[in-house]
Amino acid sequence: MRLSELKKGQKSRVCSIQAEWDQKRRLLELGFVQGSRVEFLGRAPLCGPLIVRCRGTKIALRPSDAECIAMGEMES
Amino acid sequence: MKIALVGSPNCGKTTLFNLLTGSKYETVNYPGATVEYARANLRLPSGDLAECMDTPGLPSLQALSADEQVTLNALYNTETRPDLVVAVADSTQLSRHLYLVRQLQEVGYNTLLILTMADQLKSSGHSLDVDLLQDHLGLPVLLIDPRKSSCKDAVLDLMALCLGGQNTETLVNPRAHIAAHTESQIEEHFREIDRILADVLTQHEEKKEQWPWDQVLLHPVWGIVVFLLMMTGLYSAIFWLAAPLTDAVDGTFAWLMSLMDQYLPHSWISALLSEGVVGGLGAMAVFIPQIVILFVILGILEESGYLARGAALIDRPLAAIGLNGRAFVPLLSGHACAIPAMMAARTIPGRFERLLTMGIIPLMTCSARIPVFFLLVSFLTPADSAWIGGLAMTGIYLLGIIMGAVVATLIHRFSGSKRSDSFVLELPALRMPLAKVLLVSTWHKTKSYIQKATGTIVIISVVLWALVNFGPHSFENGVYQKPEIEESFAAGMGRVLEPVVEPMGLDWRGGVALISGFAAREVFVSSMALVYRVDEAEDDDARTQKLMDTMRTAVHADGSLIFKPSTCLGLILFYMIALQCFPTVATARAESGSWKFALGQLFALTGLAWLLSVALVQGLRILGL
Repeated sequence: MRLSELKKGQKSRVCSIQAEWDQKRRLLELGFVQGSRVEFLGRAPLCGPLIVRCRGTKIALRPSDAECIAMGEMES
Repeated sequence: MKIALVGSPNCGKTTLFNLLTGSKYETVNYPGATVEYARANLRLPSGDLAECMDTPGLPSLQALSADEQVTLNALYNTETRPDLVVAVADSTQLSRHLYLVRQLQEVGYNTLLILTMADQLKSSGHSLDVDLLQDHLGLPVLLIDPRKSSCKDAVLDLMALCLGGQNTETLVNPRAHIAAHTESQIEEHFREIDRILADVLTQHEEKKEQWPWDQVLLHPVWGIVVFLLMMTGLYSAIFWLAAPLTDAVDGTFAWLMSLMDQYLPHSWISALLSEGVVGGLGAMAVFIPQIVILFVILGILEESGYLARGAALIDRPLAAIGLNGRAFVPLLSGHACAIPAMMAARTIPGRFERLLTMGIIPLMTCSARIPVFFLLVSFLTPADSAWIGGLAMTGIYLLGIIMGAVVATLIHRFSGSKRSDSFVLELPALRMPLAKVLLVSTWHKTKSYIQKATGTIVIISVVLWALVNFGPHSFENGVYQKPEIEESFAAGMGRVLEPVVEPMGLDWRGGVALISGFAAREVFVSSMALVYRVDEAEDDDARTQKLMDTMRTAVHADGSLIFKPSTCLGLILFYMIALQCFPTVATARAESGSWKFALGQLFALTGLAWLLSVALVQGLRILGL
């Protein structure tokens, strides 16, 4: 399951990132490391970026970035 | 002794810097680069002076954008290397912000840690064991609220204490060391942070998030409504709020020039001083009110956290033309002036996207073009129905944006340049901006803009003055004689250029006015008055009226009217596209570090403007306009 497939209000933990190293490193350094809890908050208007909460901060990221992030089991 | 403040974006570093320095600082360039940083001398409790520098926010010691790269150079290079790094972290964001702190320690800097937002940590229902955190990290830690001036002494005391420490220079090449980090090393850093925080951070009570503003600001409908309202407010403020101030500045310079005419002995030197130097300074000064207002509003939007939401909102439309949400602020600023706009493009990480953004900034209708459009639109539209003119001006603005979009799309489609289409942006917590910080940063940004622009503008203004006021025969009898405009060097250049401007429907006089517009676009209007010999008038409105009357009767050598609707529309189109502004070219060169880019942009945009304008004029002529 990918981060981009989460629905509004759903939470899960990061498993791994599949991307080129530069992009992967940027995501890692923002806190998308294995085990980080991510909550999907919604989508920006005009089919814009996804808004998630990761390690206490709201982060906007494009669907293409979110697709690189593999997530674990859904939490309630 | 050198002290550097280093922290992740939105960690409260600038507020702390303002607190420590009492908002008295200067902005200077990094050695060999155009990126600016703030620097101040700090008086330590011991009485010693230390040089303290603020740096742009860094998410990590691995640079992504141009300004991050330059900041890191200053941190790594031996000559500029700080003796003490004051790491700043938001105490409500420790699980991410401590990552940079650990990198700083790993490189071996003599580091102390200031945790900000103590008030928000408390109101979020958490408490932090600072002593225990200090033990875990092995560096001095202080938890403060930098919005309160009472904590200043505590910070200074700690800094004085830590300046006794040394950088541990065990790493031969810290840059390579950080760059070589692997995924598991990064993950290990975060795991260690989680272990420490589990120990030092306790949550007393579960507190709900403050009122969920983002439900509105990022709502599919209301988000767009708020965004459009904000943009309308911004534009209205730039134009309506600035108008009386602009008039006042204009009036002051006109008064200064008349004083000089009155009291200085009549000679070409005093005319040069008054019309060339003071006039040139005035041409730049009239934009200062708009630029100050732009900086204040952008500052409010940035400090409050809205700017990041705006960038997220506009990312999808910008993605369609090959840019991303971070281009939002530069493109927005471009509607006031391209110079601060190009400077704002530094925060865009990818070089291709940064240059693309800078490339289309001059297509945004900057305020220097307003007097020109105002003249041409008033000339074309009947005086009794002002709404047509208003509509035409709105159309010009929209067309500028559309043209920028088209050019960007074409370049990114055909460049074949490899780009990442990644966009990840932190949305900082919303909060009230601090008036003092806002005003001080506006003051510094305006000052640096004036310092950058003044030299170029005065030089160009003086050169153009000389072209108009000197001619091959002005010193014939050993005495200066002001040449008739037809006999000036400017007229000579205008005649050389005539074959170029002729297809645009202009004669040599239009050519002169176009050349003079390169100093600053609005100079076109006063040059038109000069070359078409419009008499002096008591105020701007009367002068414009007289100029329009003259334009209505101006004819080519063959007796045909010059300012037909086709010529005027062609001029409007030319002014929308041409990069007719040397200060912008100078800024593009400085910001891109490349003459190739700056000159390429100058010739490409001006050439395109000429081609399209000629096509429009000739097309309209076939239609009989």
